[in-house]
Amino acid sequence: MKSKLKHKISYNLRWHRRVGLSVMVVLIFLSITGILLNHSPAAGLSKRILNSEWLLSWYGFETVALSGFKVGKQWINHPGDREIYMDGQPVATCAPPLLNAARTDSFLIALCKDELVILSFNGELVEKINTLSGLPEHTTNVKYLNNTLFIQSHNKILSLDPDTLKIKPSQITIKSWPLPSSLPSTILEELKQSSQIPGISLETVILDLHSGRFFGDAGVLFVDFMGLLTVFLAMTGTYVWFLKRRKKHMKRQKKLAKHLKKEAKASQ
Amino acid sequence: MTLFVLFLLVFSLTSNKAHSAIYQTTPEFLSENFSVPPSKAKSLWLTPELKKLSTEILSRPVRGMRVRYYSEDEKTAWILEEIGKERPITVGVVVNGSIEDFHIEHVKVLAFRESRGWEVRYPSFTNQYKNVKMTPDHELDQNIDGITGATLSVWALNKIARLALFYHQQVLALN
Repeated sequence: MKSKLKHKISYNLRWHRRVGLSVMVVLIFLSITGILLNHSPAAGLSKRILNSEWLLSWYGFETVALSGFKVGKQWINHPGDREIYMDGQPVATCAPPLLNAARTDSFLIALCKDELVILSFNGELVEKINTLSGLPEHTTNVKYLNNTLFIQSHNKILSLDPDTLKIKPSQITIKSWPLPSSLPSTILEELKQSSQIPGISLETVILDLHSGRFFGDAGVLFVDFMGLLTVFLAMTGTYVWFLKRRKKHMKRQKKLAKHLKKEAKASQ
Repeated sequence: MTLFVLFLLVFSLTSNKAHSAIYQTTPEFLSENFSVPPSKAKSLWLTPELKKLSTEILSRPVRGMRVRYYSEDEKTAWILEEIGKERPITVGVVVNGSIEDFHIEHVKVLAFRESRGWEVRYPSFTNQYKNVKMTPDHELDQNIDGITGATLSVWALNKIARLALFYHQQVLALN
C-alpha cells in the first residue's frame, strides 16, 4: 500500500515537474504581459503607436507609401488614403497610387490613377484633369522636359499643355522617368502626427502576444494548450499534496499504533 | 430561401453598378454642340470674389483656382462636377448669348457614379434646362420639375446649371 502511494506520488511529481519546466517560460511571459495589460492605462500603452514596417506588414496592412517624389525643393506623396500631401500637408484628393510627379515653370503636377492634379507652388489646387476631361487612360508617367510636359500612356509618349489641355503625340524618347524616393524624416514625422501613417498601439500588440493572436490561429491554440497544461499543473500539484498528506497521515497512524502496542506491552 | 437571398445579392450588386457609367466624353460632347469643336480649352481663373459667389451657388467651398471651358463666339461649354449624394456627377452645360441675354442651350449628364437618381440623365429631364436664364441673385428663372427618388441628383444638376450660367456671365464680362 505504502509503495503504491509512493509510486503514485513520484509518478505525479515527475509529470508535474516536466510540464512545469516546459511551461515555465511561457507562464512567466504571460504573467508579465498580463501585468502590463492590467496597468495599461497608467503606463499609457494605448497611446504608444508602433509603425515599424515589418510590424505593419505582419498585421496585414497594405504597404504604406513611405516614399514620394521630390519636385524641386518640395515633396509630394500619397499615403494611400484619399489625399495627396505636399511637404506633409494635405493639398488635394485623388485616387491612389501616386504614379509620378513633376515640376513645371508654373505648377507642380501630381499624377494619380487616371487623374492629373495641378497645384500651385504653395500647394493650392489649381485643377484636376481626369480621363473625362481629356487625360488619356492608363497614363502612367509624367515628366517636364525642354519646357514641355510629357506623359506616357500605353507606352506612347504624348505632350500635354496644362493650359490648353492640348495633347499631341511626341517622337521624343524618354529613357528615365522620375522615380520615387524615401521621404525625409521631417516629413515622415509630420505624417505620423497627422495619423497618415497607420500604426498599432503597444497595448494591442501586447494583448495579441498575451492571447497568442499575434501568431494567428496557431498562436491562440498554443496559448489554449498552455492554459490546459497550467490546469494540469494545478491538478497534479493538488493531487501530490493530497497523496503526501495521506502518506503522512498513514505514517502517523502507524507510529501511533506502534506506540499503543508498546504501551500495551509495558502495562502487561 | 437560399435562392431568394442569392437573387437579392445579385440584384443589389447589379443595381448598384448598373448606373455608374460614363455616357459621353468631353470631345464627343463638344462635337455635338459646336459646328467646329474648339481644340483648346480656356480657363476662367477664380478670384476670391468669384470663389465666394461660386461657394454660395454650390453651398460648399469650391476647390481649385481655375475652371475649364470651351468657347466659340458667345457660346461656352462647361464640364462641371457636383456630388449628388456621395459621388460626383459630371455634367456638360452649353450656355449661349450676350452678357445682357444668355441662356442654357444644352445640358447633358456625361458621367453618373451614384447608385440612385440616374434618371436625371434622361433628355426628358435635362430638356427642362433649355432656354433657362439666370436671375440677378444667381437663381434659375424657371422651375425645374423634380424626380421622385432623385432629389439630390436634381439639386446637383440645378447647382451646376446655375454655376455654368454664372461662369458664362463672368467670361463675357472679362472679355
